[in-house]
Amino acid sequence: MSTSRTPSVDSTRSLAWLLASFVMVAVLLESGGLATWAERLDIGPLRSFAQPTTAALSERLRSWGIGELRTRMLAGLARLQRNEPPARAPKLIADSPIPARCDAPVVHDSGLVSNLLMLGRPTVQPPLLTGWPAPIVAKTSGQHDGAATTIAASLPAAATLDALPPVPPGQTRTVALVGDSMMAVGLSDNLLRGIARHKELHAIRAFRAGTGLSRPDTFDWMQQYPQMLGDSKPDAIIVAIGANDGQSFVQDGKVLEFGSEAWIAAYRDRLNRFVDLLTKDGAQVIWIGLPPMRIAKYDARMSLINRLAYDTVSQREHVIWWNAATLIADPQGQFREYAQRPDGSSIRLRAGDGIHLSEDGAGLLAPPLLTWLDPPTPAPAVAAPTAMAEVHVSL
Amino acid sequence: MLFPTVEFAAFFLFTLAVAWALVRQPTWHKHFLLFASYVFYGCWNWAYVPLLFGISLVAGLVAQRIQRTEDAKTRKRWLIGGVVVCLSTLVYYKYTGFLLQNLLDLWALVGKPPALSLDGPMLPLGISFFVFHAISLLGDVYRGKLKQAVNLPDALLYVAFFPQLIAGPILRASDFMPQLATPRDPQAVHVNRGLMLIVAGLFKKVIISNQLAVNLVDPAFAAPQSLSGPDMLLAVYGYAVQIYCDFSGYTDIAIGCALLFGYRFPDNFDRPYTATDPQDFWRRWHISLSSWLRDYLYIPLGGSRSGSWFTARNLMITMLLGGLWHGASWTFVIWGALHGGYLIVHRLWAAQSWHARLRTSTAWRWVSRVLLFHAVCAAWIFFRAPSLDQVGDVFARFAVAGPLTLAQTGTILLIVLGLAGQYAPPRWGDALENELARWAAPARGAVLAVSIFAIEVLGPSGVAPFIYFQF
Repeated sequence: MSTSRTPSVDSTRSLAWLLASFVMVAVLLESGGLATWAERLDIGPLRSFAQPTTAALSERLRSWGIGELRTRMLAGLARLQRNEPPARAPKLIADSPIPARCDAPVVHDSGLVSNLLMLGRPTVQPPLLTGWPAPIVAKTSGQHDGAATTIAASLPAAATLDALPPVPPGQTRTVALVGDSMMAVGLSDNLLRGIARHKELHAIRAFRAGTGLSRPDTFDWMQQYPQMLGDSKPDAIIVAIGANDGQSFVQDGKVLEFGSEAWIAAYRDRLNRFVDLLTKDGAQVIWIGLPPMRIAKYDARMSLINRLAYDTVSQREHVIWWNAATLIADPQGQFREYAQRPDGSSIRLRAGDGIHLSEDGAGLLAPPLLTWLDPPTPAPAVAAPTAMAEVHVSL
Repeated sequence: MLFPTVEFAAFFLFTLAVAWALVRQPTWHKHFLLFASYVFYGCWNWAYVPLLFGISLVAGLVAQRIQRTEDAKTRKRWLIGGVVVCLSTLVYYKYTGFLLQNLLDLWALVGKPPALSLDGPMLPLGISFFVFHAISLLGDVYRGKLKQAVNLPDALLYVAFFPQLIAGPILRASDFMPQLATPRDPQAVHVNRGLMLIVAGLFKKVIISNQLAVNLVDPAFAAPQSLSGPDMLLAVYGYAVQIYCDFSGYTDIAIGCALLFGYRFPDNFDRPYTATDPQDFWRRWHISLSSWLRDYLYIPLGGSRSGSWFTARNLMITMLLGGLWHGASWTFVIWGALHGGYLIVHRLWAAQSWHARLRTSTAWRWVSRVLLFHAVCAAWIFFRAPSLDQVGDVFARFAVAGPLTLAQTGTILLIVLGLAGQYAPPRWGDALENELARWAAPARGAVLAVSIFAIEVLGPSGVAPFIYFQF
């Protein structure tokens, strides 16, 4: 629409009346939406002001019945959406196998795997970075009753992925990809492409950017996850979540400052309840740790989330906490955007925001995860490392 | 601070009220807008506000030196110096890793390159746009297109003015600086046109673009291997509509916001999918970028003045760099190369005389539209896919027979709406504007509120960033 054809103009007085009318009608119509918006703000002065104000306004206008219009429209849309099939990756149409770009080395179980469910199954060993600090896991408490506030001082250098049993002939294995933008950006694309190459696997897209466990008022995973699954019951789940959780939140009317003892206890409780939900039908879960972040302050927050998640979920049956940093970070475990292969050529590991994984970075995580989901049958002997694996061994 | 958010609405209304309250003190009015623009940018990351300020300051100071210098060679030296500073900044922030990565990859073909850290700085939001604004200021002053003397506060505001700061449209200094030099008229605000653009932009972004992204494009491009040819084709059509509605929606909102402040921005889109040839497409798509590239790159390279070979060379260089401007990736370079190729082939074809009559027929124009749309869609695959491997996956799916499973009613409706809307006669917008002009201001305010309410309810929850923010 060209501005040069504009035939009508107004005075600023007219504009002021128009906008005043707009604000009044918008507040009437959107009082419910504004209350939701304020509820979702980060904890801080703005929220302290906006949340009670908009909540009182919404409550006052509720008696006028105007908010009912919004509620009914949203309910109608929700009904329409429920009639759509659940979001999932369509099945492979052409079964012609497409070779994976690179696979992680596969070794037999050493027999030392403590999880009885995994005995006798092939183990996917992610390649290690030279120079990664030795796995020192210090715990001062093993309690998981929601009250424990002490957490692991550091993370294990590498986690062994004990592959799931091969999918029986004629059956499929349903895999749920769960998480926030750490799953949605890069990793889900890679995994979905890989899963599409395995006719035994069937994917459910259960991730949502901008979510987490800190703010159920914004997005409640406990409510939303079952809806995302629909009638499906995943056999395996890959989780990448936590990037938005480095913030304070309100619980029972009290602001819990990020990192405080009360916050740690509450977050641990949420982790446990989320794991309960994920594993209630016996699904096997891989919980991917967050990689190091570019901005130091943010990285420190994510480090706490990582240690807390590791400390909590790795204690749970059916759950493996997997350290993505062993593939993504530099030899000192610090953030890096690029890495060099042994031949000197390079690979970009991270997106430009210094948070998410790049396409190639996510491509390093996908092969071991896919091998965990659908191990080769029969299980091969120790496979020769691929060129990409050598990158990490040599670094 | 994204446009379709409560935060932006509050920021905008407050800024609008204060800016008009100060309109009779132009200096304070502009200083306030500059301050508000830095606040807007700082909401993303305060650490990069000095970069924005620094680029604008350098461009303003160099522009002043060019204006005060009589000697042609000295003027040229100042121009080159200013452009080098601007482009070096852009290259440093946007292309360092990409350039080193490719250098190492080439080196690895002949020997083992040294171990280098390729980690670059975080990409500042909108840097491609504000650097191009700075270069436009230098270019317009050098060519004498900007008649008035450059003053620094105006130069700073020209580069940083918040409605266009993140994703354009790319303003020309010669178009916008004279507006800053003239006080805005509080009796002549293009309110109806501005509000219509804002509502249209929100509709395109929140409903068409976001819904197509969530329900069709993102899932399809995430796992193309699982799709049949018809599904893949539908997803590509969906992306063509999504990116148009996303970007043109953003610029509609930007132009509308500027109009409410009393400033005019250039049109950035003119129904691009109605184009009948590649040259026509680039006169309609991201017009402010294509005309910038034409004036500051293609014409200085020689344009079409030196025969068909040099014309083809200049077209290809311009489009390759235009592709690279969108992102430090080979997929963008190939996207630019494809469009360069389209333009060259079209020039060769148009030079033939035997089909001159055929080309004027209605039937041929429609054939041309359909052909061009599919050529543009093919190029969009490179633009959307995160890697060349995935581009190959997408093209491979077109050969796979299978049912069309992604054609939900709502999705089809949105694609049709996004395409058919481009054929709506412009007079419809004018008629609506004339009709609104007869309404009392409070009634128009109520209609605006109801429109935004409907858009908010019908759009998917959450706000997806505009696609062009990444550039």
